[in-house]
Amino acid sequence: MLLRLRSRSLWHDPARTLLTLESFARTEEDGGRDIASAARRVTDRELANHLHRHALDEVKHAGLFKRRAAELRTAGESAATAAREAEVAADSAYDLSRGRPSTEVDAHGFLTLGLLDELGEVPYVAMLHVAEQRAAALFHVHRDLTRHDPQTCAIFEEILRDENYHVAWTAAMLKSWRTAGRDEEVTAALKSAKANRWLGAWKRLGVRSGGHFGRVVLVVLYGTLLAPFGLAARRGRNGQAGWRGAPGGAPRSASDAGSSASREAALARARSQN
Amino acid sequence: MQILGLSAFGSDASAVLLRDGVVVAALQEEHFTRVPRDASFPRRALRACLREGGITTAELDWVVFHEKPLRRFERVLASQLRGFPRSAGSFSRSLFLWLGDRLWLKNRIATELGIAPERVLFSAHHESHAASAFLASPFADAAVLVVDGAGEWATTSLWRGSGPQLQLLDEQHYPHSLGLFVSAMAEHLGFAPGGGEGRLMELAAHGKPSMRAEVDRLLRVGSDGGVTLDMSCFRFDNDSERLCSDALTAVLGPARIPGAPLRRAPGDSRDADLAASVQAAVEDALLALVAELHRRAPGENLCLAGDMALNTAAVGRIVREAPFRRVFVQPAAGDAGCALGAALHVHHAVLGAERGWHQEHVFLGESLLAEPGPESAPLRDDAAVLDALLAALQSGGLVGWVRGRNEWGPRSLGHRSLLADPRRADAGDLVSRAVKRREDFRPFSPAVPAERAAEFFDLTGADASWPLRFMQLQVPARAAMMAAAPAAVHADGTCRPQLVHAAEDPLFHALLTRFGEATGVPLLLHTSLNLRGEPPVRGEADALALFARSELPALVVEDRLYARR
Repeated sequence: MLLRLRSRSLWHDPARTLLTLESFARTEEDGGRDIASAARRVTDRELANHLHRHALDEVKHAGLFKRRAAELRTAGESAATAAREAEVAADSAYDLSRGRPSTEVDAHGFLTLGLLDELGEVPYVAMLHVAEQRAAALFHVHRDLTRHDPQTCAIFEEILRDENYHVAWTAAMLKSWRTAGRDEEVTAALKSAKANRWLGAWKRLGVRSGGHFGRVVLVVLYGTLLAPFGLAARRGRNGQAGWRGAPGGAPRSASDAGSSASREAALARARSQN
Repeated sequence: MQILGLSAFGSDASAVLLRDGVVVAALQEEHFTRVPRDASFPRRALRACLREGGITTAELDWVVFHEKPLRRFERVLASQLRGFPRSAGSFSRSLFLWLGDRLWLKNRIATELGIAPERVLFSAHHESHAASAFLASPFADAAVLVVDGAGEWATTSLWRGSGPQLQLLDEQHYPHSLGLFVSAMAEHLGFAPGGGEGRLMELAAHGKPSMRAEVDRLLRVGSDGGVTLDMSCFRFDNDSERLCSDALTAVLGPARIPGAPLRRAPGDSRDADLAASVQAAVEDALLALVAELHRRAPGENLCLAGDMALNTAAVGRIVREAPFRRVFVQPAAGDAGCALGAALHVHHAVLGAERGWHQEHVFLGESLLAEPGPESAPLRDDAAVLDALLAALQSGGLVGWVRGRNEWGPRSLGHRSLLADPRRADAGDLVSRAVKRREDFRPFSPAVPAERAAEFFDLTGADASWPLRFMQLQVPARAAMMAAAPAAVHADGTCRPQLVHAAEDPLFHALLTRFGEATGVPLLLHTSLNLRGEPPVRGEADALALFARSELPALVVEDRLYARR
C-alpha cells in the first residue's frame, strides 16, 4: 500500500521514470551476474540449470528496462529532463553510486547481494526466494501504475511472469530440501533472509526520514543564520574576473624530486582535502 | 608502485590503474552502467581495472581522487551565499549532498575499497587535467592549457610542464568560465548541458556568425585571454536547474524549446547562426588563451585538457594558427581524464618518479567479454576477418566491428566501431537510419591510412600532430575528399579524420588499404557502435543486443561474423 502511494507520481515524472528504469536495469544486471556465477559453482545439476535460466531471465529484464529507458530518453530528451534528472540524482543523500553504497540495500531489499560462496546453497536459494517474492510484489505494483503507458506496462507484465516462475522454482527447491531432511536449515535460512530484508527496509526508512528532516533544518538555517553572510556575499556577487596571479611563483607540485623532505611535504599536500 | 586514480561526481566518472607509471587499465563507469557520461562513484570501473591488473585493493599503494573536496565545497558554499536569497532551493539540495556524503569522501573511498584512509590522496581538479595532458604526452617540456566548466575554483589554468613536474603559472576563477558559457549557450539552443556542447559545435558548421556582436556582449575576452561573463545573463550560482537567466532572452531572443525544429535553413537559420557565433567567439577566446600561454611559457609544445579541448573545430584552429609547433590533446580530455591525471600526478610530481611512458593509443579499457551467440560464423584468421568486413561493406554499406579492449575517452577508434562505405551520398543517412538515429545536422568522420591522408585533407600545420590519430581536430577537406566521400565532409567543408598508422593498428590499416584497392577510395566512415542515447557497446552480448535492435546488416566480433539473413 505504502509502495503504491509512494510510487504513484513516479511514472508521471519523465526524469524519475528514466532513473527508475535505469536503476532497475542495473539491479537486474547485477543480480544476473551474481546468479550466473552461482550457477557455475553449485554441484547439484538441477539447481545449476534453474540458476542458469534465472540468470538469463535477469539479463533479459535488464535489457528490457534499458531499451525502454533509451526509447524514453530519445523521445523526451530535453534540458529540463536532464536538469530534473540531476536533481533527482542529487536527492540520493548517500550518493556513492546513486545512493547505493555497498552497505545499503539493493532494489530486492537486501543489505548486500550475498555470494553463494559466502552463504552456501540453502541460504542462497532462500535469499533468492524472498527476493523474488519481494520483486514480484514490487513489479505487480509498478505494472498497475503504468497502465497509462502500455509499452512500460507490457515490460512489467512480461517480467512479472518470469518472477512468478522464479518464486515457484525456488519454493520447489526449498521444499525438496525440506523433504530430504534439511527442514531446520531451510527454516533458519528463510528467517535470516526475511530479517535481512526488514533490516534493510528499516535502514531505508531511517535514511529517508533523516533526509527530509535534514532538508528542513538546512532551509531554516539558510533563512536565519546564513542570511547576513548571504547579504554580505552579494556585494562580491560576480566574483573577480581575469587572471588571479601566479601562486607565489613556486611550483604547486613537488618538484625537486629525490629529496625525502620535499616528497613528504608533497605527500602531506596530497593528503589534504583542501 | 600501484596507484588507482578516480574521478567522479562531475561527469564521466572513471578509474585508472597505474603500475610503475604505466597505465594498466583505464575505464569509464558508463561502460558498465550504460548511462551516458555516468558521474556516479566508479565502483564497477575500478573493480574492472583491478581485474585487468590482476590485483586486489590490498595491493594498491595509493588511491588518488581527482579533486580537493573541501576546496570545492568552499566554492559551492560561497556561490550559494552570493546567490542569496534565490539560492534557497539549491542550497538545501547541495548542502544536503555535501554534508551527507562528499565531505567524508576520504573515509567513504577507504571503506569502499577496504583500505586505510591514509592511502587516499587528492589532486586538485585542474592539476589532474594538466597532468593527464602533459604527463601522458610524448613531450619532455610543454606549455599546458586547461579549460573546462569549473574545478574547485579554477575554470582556466596555465601550466608549464618540465620532466615530471608541473608548475601552475596562473588561473581564472569561477564563475567566469568559458566551459560554463558554452554549456549555457547549448541550453539556450535546446540541447542538454553536459553533452549538448558538442552538438552546438556541429550545428555551427551550418550557420554564419551573424550574431557575434550579441555574443560578445555576454563573453568578453581581454588581450591577455582573461574571460569575463556578463553574470546578469547567467545563473550558475543560484539555481542548479538552469544555467541561463531571463535576461539572456533580451540579448539573444527566446531560447529554443527542446525538441522544436532547429532553425538552420537558408532564410531562417537563427539557431545555426547563434551556434556559429558562439563557436567563433569560443575559438577566438581559446586562441587568445594559447597566445597568452605562449607568452608566459614559450616553446614548441602545447598540451590541452579540459572539456573545451574536446571542441575539435577549435583544436583545428589552434593547431593551424597558434605559435606552438606540436600539440597533444589528452584523448579523454573531459573529466574522465582526471582519473589518469590524478594517478600520474602522484606518481611523478608527488613521489618524484621519472617519466618513462606516454600514451600511444586509447585501447586501455576492458578486455572483450566474449559471449558468442548461436548464429555466429567462425572466421579462421585476420585475413578472413578482413574479407568478411570488406564483403559486408561492399554489399550492405556498413558493418559493426568489435574487438579487443575498449577505448578510453569519448571516441571509438577501431575497437567498438561502426564502419560505412563513404562513397555513397546517403552513407550518413544509412548509418543514422540503421543504427545511430542521430539528428541529421550531425556529421560523421572518416578514417584513412596515415600515409594517404594528405591526398584528402589539408594538413597544413597539423603535420605529425597527435590529435589526428585520436580524431581530435577538424581540418579542411580537399577537392578529392569532396568527390570521394561527400558524406564525411561537414557543412563548412571541414572533416574530423582519424589517421590510422600501420604500426599502431595493422588490422584497421589493412582494412582501409584493401578497401582502397577494391574501390579506389581508401576511406571509411567511422563512428562509435552504439544506439542513440547509449554509450558504445561493452561486450559481445551488448553488441548482439544492438544487432538485434537495429538494422545493422552485419557484425564482426573478434573472429566471429554475424550476418542478417
